[in-house]
Amino acid sequence: MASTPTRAINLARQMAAVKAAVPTAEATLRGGELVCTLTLQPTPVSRRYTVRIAYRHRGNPRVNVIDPPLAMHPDATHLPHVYASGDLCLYLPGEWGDHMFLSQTILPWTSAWLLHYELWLITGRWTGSGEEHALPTAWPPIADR
Amino acid sequence: MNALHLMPEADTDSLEQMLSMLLDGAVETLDVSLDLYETAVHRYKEVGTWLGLHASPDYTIYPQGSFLLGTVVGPQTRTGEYDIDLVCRIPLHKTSTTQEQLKQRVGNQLIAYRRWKQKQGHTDGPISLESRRRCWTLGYTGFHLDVLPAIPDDEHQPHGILLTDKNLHAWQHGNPTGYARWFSTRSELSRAYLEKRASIADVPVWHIRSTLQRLVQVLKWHCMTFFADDTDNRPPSILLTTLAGRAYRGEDNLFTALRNVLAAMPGFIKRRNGQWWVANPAHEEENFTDKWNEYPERRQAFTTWFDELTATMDNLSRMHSEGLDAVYAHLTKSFDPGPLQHSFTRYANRMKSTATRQRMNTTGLLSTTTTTGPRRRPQTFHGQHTDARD
Repeated sequence: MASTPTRAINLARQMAAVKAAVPTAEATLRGGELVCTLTLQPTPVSRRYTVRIAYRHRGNPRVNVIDPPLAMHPDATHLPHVYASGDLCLYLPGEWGDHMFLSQTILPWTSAWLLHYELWLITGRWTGSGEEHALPTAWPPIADR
Repeated sequence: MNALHLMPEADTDSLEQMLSMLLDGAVETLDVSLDLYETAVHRYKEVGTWLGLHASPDYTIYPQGSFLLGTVVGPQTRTGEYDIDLVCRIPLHKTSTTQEQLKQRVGNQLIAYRRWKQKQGHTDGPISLESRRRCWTLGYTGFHLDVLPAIPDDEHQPHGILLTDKNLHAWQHGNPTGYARWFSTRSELSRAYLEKRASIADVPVWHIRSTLQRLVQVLKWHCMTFFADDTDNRPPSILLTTLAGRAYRGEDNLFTALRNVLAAMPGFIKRRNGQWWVANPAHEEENFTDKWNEYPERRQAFTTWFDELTATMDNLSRMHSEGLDAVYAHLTKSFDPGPLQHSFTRYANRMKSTATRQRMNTTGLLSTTTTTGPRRRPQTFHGQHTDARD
């Protein structure tokens, strides 16, 4: 059993918190790695996505969408906010730390990512980032392409 | 800034709320902006004041139609301008004027007003003035004021008027003020609307949209899209507004109200002495389906449109987990995509990761209203590309 770094929340507690947040989540803890598989539906009309979260201490939580396969906006060449490995980019370096509960951070962040992904399929613009996009006040907005 | 529907912005916890929010955001973009509204009111009030000083204090100018009802879906012209209907009421008896004389009398005053504006060196006067079949049209930047000459209708007081029509021999009856009062009472069946209106007493009523007003805007918007290439057979707005007003039962949720109204609507299309009949609630003798008896294809067109909209709403009501993008794709089959894009984008911005008040429930639902579930910490998506099209 790997030792828990100071201040870090131990994996058993992380697992319990994930199950408390999403009771249908399946979670295993083996060889110092916590793996959770769960279904998230960010809005009442969104798809139900099966997501896998893998996490070990001294590493970052890795999040993948298993099902359904992620699609592309017709004008796009690649998925935004996804690493080459296929893991989702959910936060900026320093925004997440191992003293935080996955259930209060990574889980809702993943759900938010999925929401913005569905909106990206419509608009071709990623609205989930921290940058402010001012909404056009007049219709139609001036094309920015 | 447009008039706001007082639906609690944050409620998107159910499919109905979600669809209501998205439709609401779309028709909001078609509504008259508050700036344009204020400018237009300012302009026609000035015409009214001028008439009072130069013609007679008994001349009055007041709005009618969708501008008065708060159900504008525009812009209506190809050049992107809003048509605003006004009544110019002159207290004459119909035995002392002909339609033609009345039309000319009002026209002369408007010509004189325009000349006076130019002489004063004012730059906010009408750019153009034209005579139309039933009205005089004053052109301004972004909108037209259609001024309908009218005299009191002695048989239908206090609000009844008689209107001119170049193509018809007889005076046309109308009661736009009475109609607006009827429509307003239908809006007020929604308790939430009444409460909200009372709670923000310092906001002018015009700036607030009831569920019924938004509902009528959705019907008109869909109808405009559906009949884009066949305007002759397009059901008149007043017919849609009347049927919706009659069928409305005070629902607060826009989508639920739409489905209920569509289900009840056919029951309000009557047969009277072998004629199709939908009476004007403010003038019982007027039949809004008059033309159906003459041109059966008009009724057929209405039925086709009605069936299409009903099917669209039924399909939407079943889209529980197909994806926001699938909902959008379905909506764009029958609605203009521009306002929909705007509405979805607005929602996206509202659900930004910087929104710290969101919580996630046990199924992943992100909500700004539920009090259960962990509060979401703010997050910034990280990645080299914010826009994959760059």
